[in-house]
Amino acid sequence: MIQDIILKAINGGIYALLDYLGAHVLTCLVPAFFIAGAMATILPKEKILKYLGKNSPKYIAYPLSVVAGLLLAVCSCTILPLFAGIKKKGAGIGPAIAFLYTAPATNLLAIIYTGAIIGWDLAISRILLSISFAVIIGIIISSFFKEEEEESKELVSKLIEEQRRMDGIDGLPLHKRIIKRLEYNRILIFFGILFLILIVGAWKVFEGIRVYGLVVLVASLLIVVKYWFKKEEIKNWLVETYKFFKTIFPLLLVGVFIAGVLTALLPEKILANYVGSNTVFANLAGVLFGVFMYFPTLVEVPMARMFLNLGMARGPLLAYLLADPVTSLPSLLVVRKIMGTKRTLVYSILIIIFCTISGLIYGFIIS
Amino acid sequence: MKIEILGTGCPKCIAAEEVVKKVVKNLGMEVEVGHVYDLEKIIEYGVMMTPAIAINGKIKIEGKVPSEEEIEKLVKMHL
Repeated sequence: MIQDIILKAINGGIYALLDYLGAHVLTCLVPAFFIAGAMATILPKEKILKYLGKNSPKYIAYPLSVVAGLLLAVCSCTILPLFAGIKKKGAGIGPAIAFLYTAPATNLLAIIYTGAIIGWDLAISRILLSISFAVIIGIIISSFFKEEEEESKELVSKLIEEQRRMDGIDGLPLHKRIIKRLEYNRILIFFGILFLILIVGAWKVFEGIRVYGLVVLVASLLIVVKYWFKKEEIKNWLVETYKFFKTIFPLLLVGVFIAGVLTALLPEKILANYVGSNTVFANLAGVLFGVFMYFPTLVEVPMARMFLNLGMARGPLLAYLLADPVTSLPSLLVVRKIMGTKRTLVYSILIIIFCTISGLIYGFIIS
Repeated sequence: MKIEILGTGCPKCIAAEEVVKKVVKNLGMEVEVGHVYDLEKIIEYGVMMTPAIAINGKIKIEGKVPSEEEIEKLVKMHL
């Protein structure tokens, strides 16, 4: 009798896990891993970063910081030299802080992962709130501490103009020009196809034509990769994809598994007692844990999935997801060296306040 | 030859240092391995993202933890 029950439970568990993976995660996660790898290797980061490092006016620097943040998937420590560079030689402390915030917090991958693993409502809230916080905190700190602003400004358009002239494709005959243009845009086409695969694979709208669509897309991806990319680039892309897969996927499974075991062993959900409802304490706890702990890029998402399974309410969960990637204790210590104790304190306190309040409001709206 | 790891001491930089040390040990060669923690100096190298690897003062890898093969290739290239 007891054996039957255990067997039934295990079967049910495995079935649920497979169902979960097949229906919601695999179609979304597999393309997401490939996009992650591509973003880490094939994207010409230097170009984006170069624009950011130069002196540019505020109305360009803030959007640039946000765009750069969307494209880069890095942890809070990696971008510290660039942060120092923007602050010192570039657009000043406001955009530098916006970049410091967005680079780890808002990237397309984190959003895709959050959507695939936890839910699209949280994913969308996460990106919109992070972008707003980055700009608002940047503006607050730069207006609080005006004395360090720099005067010399240089227009970004000048740089873009230079870049265009250097390409020198205007003198070629028409068909060659078209081919050159396409090659020049190979990265755009490549990422376009990758994102299309993700969308067609995951969205319900494409149910009827999914298989054909995916076959066509994957075939065109292979052609693009074969003709326009060097062997070295392809290899780096695949290696990086595998690295992302290796870090994230086991954590996701282990997280779900541990959460399952814990909930089975303890009659009441342990975490639920503390962070199961949408209270100030629950949100603050989520945020504080996130602000100081260090996790590698994107690992916050499987962590959040585990918290969700353990009974964390969605408000505190959003608060945690907002706060976690932005900073960690090691990165804060270095930031302190760059912009001083006072500013770092204000920066951390603003993050804590904003994230806690958002979690509260979000939890209030959905309940 | 001198290999430097540039990084402020975050987990990724430590991982990069371990990779370099392992490769150097496996190759059994006379290579000086150093770690630059100071951000000012890191910026002077022209690095925008850490961890970075410099060989004889020149940046070779930036913004990622390198694989052992990558380091091995670089070390052999600079012999």
